[in-house]
Parts: sequence; structure tokens; C-alpha cells
Amino acid sequence: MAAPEASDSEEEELAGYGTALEPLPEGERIKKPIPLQEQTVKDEKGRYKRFHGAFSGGFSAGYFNTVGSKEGWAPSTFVSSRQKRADKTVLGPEDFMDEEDLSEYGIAPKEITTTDDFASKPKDRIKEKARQIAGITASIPGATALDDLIAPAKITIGVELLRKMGWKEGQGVGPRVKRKPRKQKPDPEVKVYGCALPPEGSEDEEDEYQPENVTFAPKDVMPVDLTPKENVHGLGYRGLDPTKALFGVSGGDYPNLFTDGSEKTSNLLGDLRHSKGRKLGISGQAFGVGALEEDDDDIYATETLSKYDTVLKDEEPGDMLYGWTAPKQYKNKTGMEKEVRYIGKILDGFSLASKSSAPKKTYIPPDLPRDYRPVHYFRPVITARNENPLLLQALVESTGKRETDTLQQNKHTLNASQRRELLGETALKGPCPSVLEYLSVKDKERIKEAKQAAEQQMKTQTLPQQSLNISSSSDGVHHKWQMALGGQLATPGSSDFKPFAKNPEKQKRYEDYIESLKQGQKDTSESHSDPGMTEWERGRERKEFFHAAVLYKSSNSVLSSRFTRAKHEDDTDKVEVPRDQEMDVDDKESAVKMKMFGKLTRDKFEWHPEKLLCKRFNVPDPYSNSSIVGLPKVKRDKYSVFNFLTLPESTTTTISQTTNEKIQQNINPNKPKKPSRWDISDKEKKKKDSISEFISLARSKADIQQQQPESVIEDRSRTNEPLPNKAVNESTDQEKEEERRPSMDLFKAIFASSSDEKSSSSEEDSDEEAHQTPSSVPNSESTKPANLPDTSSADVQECMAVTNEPDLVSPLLKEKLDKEEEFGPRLPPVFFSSTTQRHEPVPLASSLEASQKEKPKKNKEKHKAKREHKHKKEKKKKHKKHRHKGKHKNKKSEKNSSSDTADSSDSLSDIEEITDLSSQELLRRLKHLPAMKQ
Amino acid sequence: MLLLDMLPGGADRCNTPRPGAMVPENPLSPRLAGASRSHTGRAGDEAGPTKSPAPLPSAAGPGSEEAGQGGRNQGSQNLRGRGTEWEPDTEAPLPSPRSQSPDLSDLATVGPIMAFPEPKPKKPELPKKLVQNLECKQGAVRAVRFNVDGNYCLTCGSDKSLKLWNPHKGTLLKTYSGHGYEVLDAAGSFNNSQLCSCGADKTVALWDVASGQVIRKFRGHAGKVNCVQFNEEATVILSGSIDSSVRCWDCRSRRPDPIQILDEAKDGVSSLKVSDYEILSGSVDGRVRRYDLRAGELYSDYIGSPVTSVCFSKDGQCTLAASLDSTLRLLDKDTGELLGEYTGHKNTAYKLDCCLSEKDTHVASCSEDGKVYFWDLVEGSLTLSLPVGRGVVQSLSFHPSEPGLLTATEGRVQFWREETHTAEEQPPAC
Repeated sequence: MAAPEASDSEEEELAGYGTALEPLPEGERIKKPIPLQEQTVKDEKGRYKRFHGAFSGGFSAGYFNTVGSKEGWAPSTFVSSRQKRADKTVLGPEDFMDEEDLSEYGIAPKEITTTDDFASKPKDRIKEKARQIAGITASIPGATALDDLIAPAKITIGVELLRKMGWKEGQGVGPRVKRKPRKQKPDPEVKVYGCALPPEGSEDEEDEYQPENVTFAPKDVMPVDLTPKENVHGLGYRGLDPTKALFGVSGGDYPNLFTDGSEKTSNLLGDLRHSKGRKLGISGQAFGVGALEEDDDDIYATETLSKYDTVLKDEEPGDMLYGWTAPKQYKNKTGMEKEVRYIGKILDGFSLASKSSAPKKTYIPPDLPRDYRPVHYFRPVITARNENPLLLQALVESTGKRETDTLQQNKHTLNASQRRELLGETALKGPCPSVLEYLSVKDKERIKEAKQAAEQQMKTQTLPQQSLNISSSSDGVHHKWQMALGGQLATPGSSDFKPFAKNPEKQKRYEDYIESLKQGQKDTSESHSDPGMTEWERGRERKEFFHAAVLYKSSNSVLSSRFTRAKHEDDTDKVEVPRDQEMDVDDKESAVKMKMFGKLTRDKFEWHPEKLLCKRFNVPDPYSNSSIVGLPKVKRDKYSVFNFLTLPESTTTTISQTTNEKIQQNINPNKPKKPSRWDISDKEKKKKDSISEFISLARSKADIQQQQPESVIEDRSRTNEPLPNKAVNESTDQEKEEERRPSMDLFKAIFASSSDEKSSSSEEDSDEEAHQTPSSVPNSESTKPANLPDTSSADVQECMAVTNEPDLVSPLLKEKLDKEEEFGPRLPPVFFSSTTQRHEPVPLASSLEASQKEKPKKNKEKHKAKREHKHKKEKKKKHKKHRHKGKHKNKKSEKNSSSDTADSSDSLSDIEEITDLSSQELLRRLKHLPAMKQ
Repeated sequence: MLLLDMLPGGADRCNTPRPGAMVPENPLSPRLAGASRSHTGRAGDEAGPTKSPAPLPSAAGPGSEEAGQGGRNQGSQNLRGRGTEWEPDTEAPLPSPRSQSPDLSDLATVGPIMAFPEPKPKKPELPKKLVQNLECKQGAVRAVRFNVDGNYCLTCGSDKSLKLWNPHKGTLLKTYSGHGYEVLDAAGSFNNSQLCSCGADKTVALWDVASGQVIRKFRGHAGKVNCVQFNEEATVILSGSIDSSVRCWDCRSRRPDPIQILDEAKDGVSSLKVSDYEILSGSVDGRVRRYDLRAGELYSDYIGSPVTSVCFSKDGQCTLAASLDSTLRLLDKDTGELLGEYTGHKNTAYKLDCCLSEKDTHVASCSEDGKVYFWDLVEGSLTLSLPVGRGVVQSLSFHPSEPGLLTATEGRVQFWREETHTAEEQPPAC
């Protein structure tokens, strides 16, 4: 067993760390650790404390709803106190207080705080003073000395200074007075309870001895301090003055009733005695001490009996008591009278004025006249240019100051330029307002003539040969424009205004145009227009210029002289349009009619599918490196606004009326039939008709403008005849050759609206050509140009109506008429009545419509029921149509010259026209009917 | 998905050459053997009874340049027509409907077949026997559509519901409700797991077939959505609306806006068909537009009258367009030439469907006089007018592989089969 031995030896050599545990005593059980629930904490009084809640205080902390002890309110059992009787003699209030009350903020803090002696409070001064007084006035000097020894000798610096100045305690501060201040003395006959007071020699002596030239210190009175009332006492209530009631009048002045001299002398501690005496006094009219008040000494003074007179006697002159026994401070009533008047403190160095200031002077308002009315009324303004000179004269004479009057009155009637002149300002460099000034005299005369002619023409349309010597039609038309311009044309001088600034060439042309207009040339734009331009372009531009000139007339030029052009213009006149437009439907229409599907009816576009779409379709992107989606778009010029502006012309209304009428007549027979391929040729005929009619209308309109109303008459009289073209052709001039085509914007307006093309601006010339070819049929030379669309909006509508595709329209239109919110082909009705064998195509149709159906199918068109109110008109219309049927058949038969045009939708125009017509218009037409038949 | 999942035999059935497959060959073969020019005249003559008498010569009469062109067109059209005429008839390996078969070049390959025609082909049968009558009880049935294999059908009701049927048995399988207004069209996905529908509530809904829940709703159309189609893989839904746009909705991602908006139409889009790389839309503006994704081109064919329904032929070579002038037109897809015109029915007001028969032998169209009209595709002659009901026959759907026809009139859907059809043939569906 070598190893254990070795270990033993090693063990002794080992160094130990830490303290070894005590060896367990024999037989003693190992202390169990106190379980958690039994571990307790006790406070300093041996009470159990629990870690309980958030509150450290409170009676019930630790013991729920108890007084903080385990036993709660349980009465303590009797414990013999015999052993500890000597120790515990008296139970103080502290014995019944909680320790919280003794803490710093408790009721009775036990900690060291500054006592009153050392605190600098006014009450301390009073005490101090009292102490001093007591020490001084003590009969035995030694006592005071003793008192001084004992009492903390504390005299404030103020008191010390006063003393050095000769002040003595008990005296008032101020100059000395002659009269003896203190007269009051306790009467010897006063019954004194208790032991009789020994006569105090010193006081008596003082009383008796009154030397002549002895001045006395003033009474120690508190100055009346009329402070604003801040308390809640009753009015006039004052607590007794503590100084007087207590110590201020001490020293025999106010004999303390309840303190006797023996006591005073015997008691070494005068202040103590005094305080005791105070206690004996009658307590003030107090109601106790408030909880918040520190001491009752200050607030509720003790009132002593000495303040009151107990005996009626002669009034003393200085006393001014006059038998009153009121407190002293109210004695000097007269003296205080003045002071009372002044409310507030009197500052040092000031005194109340003896004399009252003079009363304020008040001024009486003036007397009003009797007939005064408190309303202002204005005199009537008599302007200088009043036509009553007499009145004016009278006014001038009466007032004598007419000049100013008129000036003032004119102030509001002056215009800007007049004011400018008055102010002496220089004129704006705006242009001259009227283009008329630039016109030559001859032109002016011609304009005058034209105006007259127009008026006359308006008045009497029946007189055809109005003897107007306007020779050439285009001249006349153009001249009419100028006439319409009147005196309002803009002038080229307004160089700030550049309506076509973006197109410098155009702008130049515009300026030239204006210039030439100024110079009185008639065919202005022709000379300046771009030679490369086609005729219709020229016409359009001319119209644009014209409108621009009218738009920006004088007022605008005045404005334009004030405004400057923006440097940056947004590209508003560019619009994104698909690069490739679906071609016009007209030729397609014809191709469809001819069943020539294929190239003619097919449009092929480059179309960019979205990449994701290709991915989803598992198709390679055909344009993998282009970001375009859909149809490629290009920026194109939008149409100029001027295209669509119309001029207010006096003759337009009548013209449009007549044209409406004619269109009405001409189109009526071409009622929409159910489109079928059998009537292709028929339709083409109609198309032809409609176009030529349209053209002729345009022409005739122009004719009217040329003061040749006979063509209209002719047309009217010849409605049986195939067309008014004859009349039109008669008046065809060579000059019209140049304007063979109808105005382009006319077509634009038509096609833009009818086929809902996104932009009509991209019509190429070729397109135009394609359109032109079908219409260049026999009547084409009669095509009258550009002056069409400027007539009136009614005409434009007309035009739009004329050139819709019929096939597309007829059923569709019916649909739309039936129910406006429906688009495209409808869905069949939900249920049909079981009885109707025949299919009812329009389930929504009303009974009216049904009745219409019953009518013989003379007119093949099927008018679906529109809204009810339109229905009536329609009927009327139909009426008329029947009458004209015969004529138009004739016309048709004559007019089937060619068959390759696309047809226009007569049906649509027809119906739209109906909707546009007012009932009066219808009536009017009906009246005209018989005349036309002749 | 599970519900409609194709039975194992389902796919086979579609492709199984049937005895009647070669039927159309018979009338065609002599014609093909003949010269193309002579054929032209014959075709015109045959069309005589139903068509306007020879409009082309009269048009070409003036001898204008256009007339000459017309003549050329005529020639090519006839060539073209011949190509398409016989192609669907050659059942020999029936090309998957969407495969693009070259037109004239096929003549060479077809030639031998022509030379040795199949013995005794049967005449194509038309569905004239009413086998099922489904009272849908969902208001007016706006559309009836076969699913991809023809075993089931969908009916779109005006009471906002969409119903799934087995038309062979006449059983209602499921009702899908969730549209806010009447349902106007529906389609099933290629795997029968999803449905799409559209309605007058301007939305396009994607449905889960089995659960009947709306998977997604696509909002964006500004008006009623007239027609809806899945693409081949059901990854894109295409919808055409009266707001004149076709919108392509992505089913794969969660993007709420369409992939692309085809807004070339100037008026409402009434009908829409999708092939594997094409989108065919018919619009009320009278045009049939074909968006070719592969070529990146848009072909717009002017019809002239508001188009109510368009469809591809099964061989993908032709498009059929029905318009409100009571005419169906068969157009060559590539050139836009007119291959045939079919009239006799009445369609002037309503949006009615048209379709081609399962082998492109016949053209069928609804009519407003309560009948369904069948025309021979080649001859253009009216072969059958099937009286369906008193009201307008609004919708029809042809079985993808068999002579079966679904017609919807008023609140009723009827299922028609050929005369020789027997119930035993019915596959045990469902």
C-alpha cells in the first residue's frame, strides 16, 4: 500500500486555499436550508416585511387590508407593565404616530431643521422685538441681563441702527411729538380679579410728570395700509394688530390684565412669560388654525381688553376717541378721510394733494337742426354729355365747378386710351386696330356694296337677278371673305403674333397674305402660296390664314403687345398616331361589293407583340430588338385648329337651310334598305348620286354666295329633274377648274368622324387619289371647292352624315337607335313569347314600333324604334319620303352611269338628319312640298 | 382538373381515324383532278342557286384595269380555294389542327392520294338527331362551348352563372357563380383544369374547375367582355370587349394589368379565336383582324358589315367570319381572298355564332329564325337547316372531333348527333 502512504505524506505538505468548512458537530443534524416560503424579512420594528407590491408605504403594505401588522386590529392582550413602569411614564403623541409621520415630510419630522430663531421670518422679528422689549423694560436689570445671557442675543441690524439713532423699543419711528402719546391707563377703580396689582411706580410717575418741552416719540403705529382686499374675510374685518395687542404696547401702556407684576418680576424668563401671557389673552375671532397656516400667532391676533375703553369719560383731545370704543386705528377719522380717497399706497416722498384738482370740463354736443335726417343721399349725376344742355347749364351755374364735376364723372367712362392721354403717357406700340384702314378706297366701296348685297339677299331671296356685278365667282367668294373680315382683320404689323411660328415658311406666307390683304389684293394667297402645294392644300391654308387673321384681330394685338412669346413651347401640335392607318373604307367597300376580297380588302401592318406574349405563346419574338409594342407610332402634325373654326356669317343660316332642304330631298328616296348583294349597283348609283349631290350642294352654296340665287330657285323648281347639277354646270367657270376637288378638310372632317380614325392627318396623296378616282365621274368638274366647310356647323354635320359606310351602319345604327348603350350586335333577348312564331328581332321595341311593322313594306328600310320622342319626327319624315319616291326613282334611273364607286350611307345621313331637324323645320319643309312638285 | 381530366381513351378518340374520315374525298376528287381553270367555272355554277349570279364577270365587264386584277384574283382565289377544299378532307394523318400546313405545295404530296382514292368513303354526316336536351335553368344561355375534347360543355347563363355539363349524358356537373352580371363567353383550358369566362360585368374570370372557385379576376375592360379564349397552353387569356380592345391577360404571373392591349379595332370586338401563334378577332367595325405573333404582323380584312363571329378552320388555313349582313364568308387566311360565301340564314341584329364542322366539311351558323344552317364548305350550298327552336339560336359549338353539335336557344341547350349515332358509342364519360 505504498500509494496511500505516499498520499498521506503529501497531504500534509499541501497548501490549503480558502477556509475550510467547519467540521460537522457530532450528533447535530445538518441544518436544512430555509425554504423560500419561510424566509422572512423584518423591518426595524420587528414586523414582517414582505416584498409586496409596488408600495413601500401605506398601512396595508405587507399585510393586506390590515394595519400593517400581522394581527391587524386585534386588541392587544394585557401585558403587565410592572417591570417597565419606571421607564415608560408618559405616552407622547409620538407613541401613537406612525413612523412615516416622523419622517422628513411627515406631520412631526424629527430631523434637524432650522428653528424659528434662526429662520429669518417676520414673526421671528416680532418675537425678538418682544424679547428685547421685555429685557429692557424689565424692572430688574439683572433679570434682563440674565435674560440676555440666556436668550440668544439677536438684534437685527435695523434695530441696532434705530437704536443708535435714538430709537427705543416701543417707540414709533419718526419725529418726536409734543404731546404725550399714551394717555390710557388702567383705571384704579377697575375691578381686578385676582390679586390687586401693586402700583407700578415707574408708570405712574411717567403719567404724572409732564414737562413742558419734552417731546415724545411718536406712537408706534402701523401705517394704515389700504391694500386691496385679497382675503375672504368680511368687509372691514381686521384682525387685531398683533404688535399692539401683544407686545408693542407693553411696558404699562397697555396693562396686561392677566399678568401681574409679581409674576413678571419673579419670572426671569420674560419672553417666556410674555408668551404665556399671550396665551391667556382672549383669542381672536378666529375659527382655529388652518391646516396650511404655519402659526396662528400671525394671523389671528389676540385681542386684549386693554384695547377697549372700559369707562366713559371725557374725550381727550388728542385721543379723538370721543367716547368711541372702537379699536384705535379707526380713531382718527378725519385725518384719514383724505387718505381714504386715494386708493393705493403713497410712495415715499409723495403726499396727497391738499387741493383737489379742478373738475374736468365737459363740452356739450352741438344742437342738431330740427330737420336733420341721419341718411345720406346722393345727388343724381349729370354727365357732361347729357343731352339736356339746359340742365347742364343750370347745374354748372348752380355749382360753379362744372369742370371738375365732369372730369370726375367722366372718369369711369373714359377708355384706356383716353386715360392715357390724360395722363400724358406714350401710346403703346400696338398695331392699328383695323385692316380696313389699309384697304383702298375702291375696295372699301366694294365691300360696302357686297354688304348691301348680302343684306338684300337676306331680305329677298326671291329676286334672283339682284343686279350685282360681281363677275367671277371665285373673286366674289374671296371677296366675301374679306367682307366678312370686315374691319377686324389683324394686320401684319402685329409682328409679335405669329400663329405659324413653327413653320417659318408658312408664317411667311401668312404674312404675305396679310400684307396683300392690306394692299387690297383679292387673290392673295394664290400668289404667295407654295407652288408645290396642291390645290386643296392651298385652299386649306388660305382658310387657315383667314381664320387666323380674324382670330387675332385688334384686341388680340393689343394683348400681344403686352405679352411676349414663350420660349419653350410644348409639342402640342404633334400627336402620336399609328404609322400605318387602315385605309379608307370606301374602296374596300366597293371591293367587298364586288366580292374582290384579297388585296383590296386587306391591310397589312407591322405589329409588335409584347415580348411576354411571345413567350407565353412559345413564339420567338419577331422583333426581338425593338421596344415598340403594338403598331409603330409616329408623330404627326395635328390638324390646325383653324380648320374647324367657323365664322359667323350672316348668310350662312339661310344657305344651310336651303342646302339642308336639298339634301333632304335628294337623299330621302335613298332610304336604307336591307343591304344585300342584289342591290349593289343600286347602291353605287346612290353613292354616285350622293356625291354629286353633295358637290352640287357645295356649288350651289357658292352660287348663293355669289349672289346668284337663281340657281337655288332652279334647283328647287327642278327637283323632278335628275339633279341640280345642271344648274351647277351652267354656272361653272373656268376658274373652278383649279378647284376641282372638294375641299380637303371637308373630307377630313367627314372621315375623321365617321370612321373614327385615330388621326386623319396621315392621309397620303395616294390615298387621296384613290378617293378621288371614284368621284371623278361625270360631275366631277362641277366639284366646288374650299369654301364649303366654312359655312356652318350644320353643314359639317351634314357632310359627316353623308359619307358613312352604309353597310356598317344600317344594322348597327338600328341597334344604336334602339338602345343607346348597346354597341355592336346585341344578344338575343332572354326569352321569347311562346306564341310568336315569327321571330321578333327587336324585343325592346315598343308597340309603336310594332305598329310600324304592320305597315306595308313600301319602304324597305326598317326603322327600329328610337326613343319615343324621335319617333314622331321619323313618321313625318317617312310621310314626305313617300311623296318623293317617284321622282327619285326617275333620278336613279338616269343616274346609273357608273358603278364602281363606293356608296355612301344615305341611311345614316337620313336618320341623323331627322334627329337634327327641329319640328319647325319639318313643318316648313312640308309647306314647301307642293311648290316643289310643280 | 381531375373532374374533367381526359380519360385515357379521350385523346385517342380524337385522333382515331374514323370510317367517315375519308368521306369528303368523294366529291372532291374529281374536281381536283380537273384543271383549276375549269374548276373555277364550275364552282361558280354550283354556287349559283345560293349566290348572286356571277358577279365577277359583270364587275370585270368594263375591262378596266381593276377588272383585270379582279380576274387575277379570281384565279388565285380558285387555286387557293381548291387547296383548302380538299385539304381538310384528306384525313390521312390528320394534321394537328393548329399545325400550319403549306397550301399549294401540299398538292404534290396529296397528289398520290388523289390518284388512289380510298375505297368507298362515307358521306359526312351532319348532326341532326337530338340526343340531349339540357334545361339549363340559368336564364338565357348566352354561349355554349365544348371543352377541348368534346366530352363536356360549358353554358354561360344570363343569371350570372356558368355551368359545366356532360352533354352526352345530360348531367349537370358543376355550377360556377361569381360573375356580377351575365356571362357572355367561356372557354376551357387544354388540360381541363381551368376555365375562363367573361361577362357583362367587364371582368374576365379564371376558374378552378374542381373547386369551382375563382382563381383570378381580370379587370380592365371598359365595357362588356364579349369573348374570351385561352391560348394553347392556357398561359394567356385573351378577351375581347365592346371597348374595342383585345386584352391579353397573363395567367402565370400575378400582374393585374394585361400583357398587351390590342386596341386596333375601331369598334367593339365581338369574337375572338386563338391559335398557337395567331389571334383572330372580329370586330363590329367590320373587320377581321389577325395578329400573327410569329411574323409580327397584323392583317386586317375588311368585311364591310359588323362581324359577329370568327373562327379558324381546323387546318388553320381559312378564317370564317359571320357578319350582320346575314352572310358567312370564308376567307383565305394568308391572302384574305374570299373562298366562299354562305347565305340563307338570318343574322341582322344579334351576335350569333358560326363554326365549322369537325372535319371542315361544312359550315354551320346560328340564325335568328330558330334554325341552324349547314352549308357545304366547298360548294357553298345549303345542305341542312336544322330547326332548333322558336327563338334565336344564339350560340353553337361543334364537337372537336365528332359530328356533334351543341346549340343554345333561349334557356335551353340541345345536343345533336348524327343519325347513325348510337348511345353505345358514347364513351363512358364521367
